[in-house]
Amino acid sequence: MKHPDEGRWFTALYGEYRPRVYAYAVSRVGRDLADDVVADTFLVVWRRLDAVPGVPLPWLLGVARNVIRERYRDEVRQVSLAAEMRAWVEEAQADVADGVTEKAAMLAALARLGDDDRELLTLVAWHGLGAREAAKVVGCSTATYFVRLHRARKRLEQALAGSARRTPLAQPTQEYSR
Amino acid sequence: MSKIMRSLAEARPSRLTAGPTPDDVSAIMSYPRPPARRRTPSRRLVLAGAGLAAVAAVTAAVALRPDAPAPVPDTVAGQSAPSSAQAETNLLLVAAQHNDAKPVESGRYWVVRTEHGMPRTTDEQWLATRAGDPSVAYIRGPSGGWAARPMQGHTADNNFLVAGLPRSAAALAALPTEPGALKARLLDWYAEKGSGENRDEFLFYAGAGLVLDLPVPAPVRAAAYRMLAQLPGIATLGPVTDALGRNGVAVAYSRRGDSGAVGQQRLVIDPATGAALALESWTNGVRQSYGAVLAARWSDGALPDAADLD
Repeated sequence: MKHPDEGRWFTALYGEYRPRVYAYAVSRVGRDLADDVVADTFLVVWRRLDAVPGVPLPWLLGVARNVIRERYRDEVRQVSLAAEMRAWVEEAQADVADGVTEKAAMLAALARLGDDDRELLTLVAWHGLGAREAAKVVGCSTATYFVRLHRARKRLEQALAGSARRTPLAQPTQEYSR
Repeated sequence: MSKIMRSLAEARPSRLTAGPTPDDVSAIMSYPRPPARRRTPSRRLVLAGAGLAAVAAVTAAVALRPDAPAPVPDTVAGQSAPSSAQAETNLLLVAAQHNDAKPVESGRYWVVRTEHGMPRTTDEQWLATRAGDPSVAYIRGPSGGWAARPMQGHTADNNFLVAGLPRSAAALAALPTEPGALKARLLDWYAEKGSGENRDEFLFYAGAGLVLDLPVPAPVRAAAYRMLAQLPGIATLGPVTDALGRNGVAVAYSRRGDSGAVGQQRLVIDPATGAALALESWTNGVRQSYGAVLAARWSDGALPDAADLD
């Protein structure tokens, strides 16, 4: 049950991957709930240290994903996430650097996508996963992942074009969702 | 990477960046680690079978005990039938009355021995109520011996979790003994928590903790039972056995999870003593996890040596 190095290994894992799990949690449930998700995720890791694979990140994000699903009802998560996404756009708009208009428009377009699309896109763009790893997190085959990512990207482009024409409801995501 | 994916990557919000590492790591490591998990694919089937057997046992038990609360079909299919409000009120009110008669106690340490599952582990936590005293969890190894693990980050101010909110023993001792006032105080804490958790679910977890393994005076425990009796959404399951095979009666709070499964939290109570025995988590009629309290008591002594625990 106790290996002298287990504590040290866990501490190292935690130090290395806490920021990554936190970023994923913020993008799925918002900042207010993210710390709780991170704590619960690493509690699972602590209890299942022997199950941590050689490349831990996809497995860790998969655990975090399950923690979120078990811990929060969907409407709770959606409310928290909607507030989080508003904060992203406001923050981008408040920024004075170059390119912020694009940034705010991109985040607003992302916020209009369906939840599944948003997860697929951000796993790759924000959380540093390759397609194969991202497929592992959401539990589908790599081939399926590519197809779904392709569709999600199209919908993001459409949402972005919609906002450029200042017709925010031009491309309601419902029309395209499965 | 395509142009749009690059733009998306560049738009990554800074709010995704974590602040400085909080001291969670030692708190997490203070939790007991189970022995390496074994895959037991047959467990689900075995438990499903046990569930059916339990229904038969329930029926038999009720037939033998004409004064027992009216049985409600068990939740093998994951569906708790709407129960008679009368039965659940009686059950919880009887448990409350048992606690009315008990004296108010306190001590240096609140000592709780619990079996957790699954996989099965047993620990005994010595939770300090005085500033400066350390808290220690003793974990029973597979060979039966105990190992002490300091509970870092636990202090007399935060040692006791009420539906996830850290509280001191003093705050718990000061809880109201009238059910309406108790509920109001808990709802103040709920507001402070500020999460989107369902209000009644919060009250169920808080109430279950107060009756199960938190150090509250007996009158507060009685008030918690009475508060639970008035809580909407609580179903009475009637006679059950807990994970340790102890006989009791259960009340449950159910909700349908995001994936469509019905999750149910069962509070198992010994009707003979008014003591809560266990809190169990069931999904679709299968027991997934549990905390069964073996003993909860006050101690004024110092922390024992692990070798001295039995």
